[in-house]
Amino acid sequence: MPIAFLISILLTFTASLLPQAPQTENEVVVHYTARSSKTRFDFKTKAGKNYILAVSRDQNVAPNAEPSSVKVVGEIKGTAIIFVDTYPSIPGGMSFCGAGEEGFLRIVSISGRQPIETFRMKVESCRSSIELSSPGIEWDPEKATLRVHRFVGLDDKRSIKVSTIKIDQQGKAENQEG
Amino acid sequence: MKFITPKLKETFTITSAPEWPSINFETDGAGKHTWQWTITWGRFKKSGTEVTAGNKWDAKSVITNYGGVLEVRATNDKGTAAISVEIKGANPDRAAVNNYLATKANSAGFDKILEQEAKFKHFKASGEPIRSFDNGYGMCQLTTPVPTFEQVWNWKLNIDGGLKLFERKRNEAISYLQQQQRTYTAEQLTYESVSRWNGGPYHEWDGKNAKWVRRSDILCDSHTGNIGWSLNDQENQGKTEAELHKRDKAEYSKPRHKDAHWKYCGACYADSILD
Repeated sequence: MPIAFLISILLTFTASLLPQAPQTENEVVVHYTARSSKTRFDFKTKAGKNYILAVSRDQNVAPNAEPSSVKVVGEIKGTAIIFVDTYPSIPGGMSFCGAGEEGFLRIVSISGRQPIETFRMKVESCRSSIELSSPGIEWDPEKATLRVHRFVGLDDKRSIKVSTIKIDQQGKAENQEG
Repeated sequence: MKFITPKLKETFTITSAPEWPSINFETDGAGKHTWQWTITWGRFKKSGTEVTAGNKWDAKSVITNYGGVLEVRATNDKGTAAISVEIKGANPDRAAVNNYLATKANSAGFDKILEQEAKFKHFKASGEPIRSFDNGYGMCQLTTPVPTFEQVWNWKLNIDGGLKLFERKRNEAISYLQQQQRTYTAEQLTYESVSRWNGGPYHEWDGKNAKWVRRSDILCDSHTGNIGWSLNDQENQGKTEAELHKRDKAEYSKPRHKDAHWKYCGACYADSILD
């Protein structure tokens, strides 16, 4: 039986490449469990609303792995919650990625009756050589826009990719690859 | 028709070089022979057909880079005969592995990983390649992409496969260290590559002095291979390594709890095997 963990996350972070959003009254409490290669999130907003949904990970995360961290990037009240969930990588031989992590940026629309994941992007992967580059994830709440700076690609084709993701009033995301 | 040589189930050994042995098949038949051969080890299999004018055939050229059980069926115009032999391997020594790595560009640090993780061993005492519980084969425990038959039995090709993966991490390290036209040393590149092999960066940018320095937010447990503590975690702040080790060591042998105050860290891995 998976154990549920309760974490309270303010929209400010002291470390990492996640954005330094202004501290506001926004607060999202996240409750989560993992089972059968899915993570079930239970978000409770400051306004007291609860949103529950299960999301997939990928083949680089063990089926029973719980998130090692969940960080809320932003919230558009009544429209969307934006967060990053991170998991330990499945290790390979010779300690390859034994301390590695796999992270997903997600946008969840909360404008309808049921929350829906409208966007998912890998922002960290030891197994697939993805990581954030400075300044990482930038969240502009006024424009409801994310800018994500990532190192992607293998071998000598590795480069920085900047994605601009605009969130509409239904919590849907439009990704404009840079 | 029957085989004169070799003996049924005779064992032949690949040298540590590695050099594949001659296996001379000879029948008591005469005339043109067709040799159908199959070499199998676990899920790996290769087969083929050779034709000779007489009753002798050396299988060396077709078994090079393979091992396991070699089955041969010889056919001439009078009849057929079948036989099987075994091919096993011998481990290289440290010097041989290091000499091989010295011929490979961009391998700095990989020798230390091999020493730490594989002790330069490719074969078990039985002469068969090492195979881990998750189907990792040989010295580099190659899993994904699934190694070839050749990579499983030829330790040099196995190292080449491991190096390919290491080079990916080295490229990650380069793109990280050279961002915003920053400069770095060869030693920093080695530490950054080895750290990323295990997971995560080794260096952070010191803007004041305009140079890369070892990340300051991780204190390592020097009693372990890759365990450390985040100094951003208030529970770890103001405590010595000895105090933190005493607090957490009992948890190390269990699956890490998500609320644990210690973590696996590539920077500690690099410190552990490079220092």
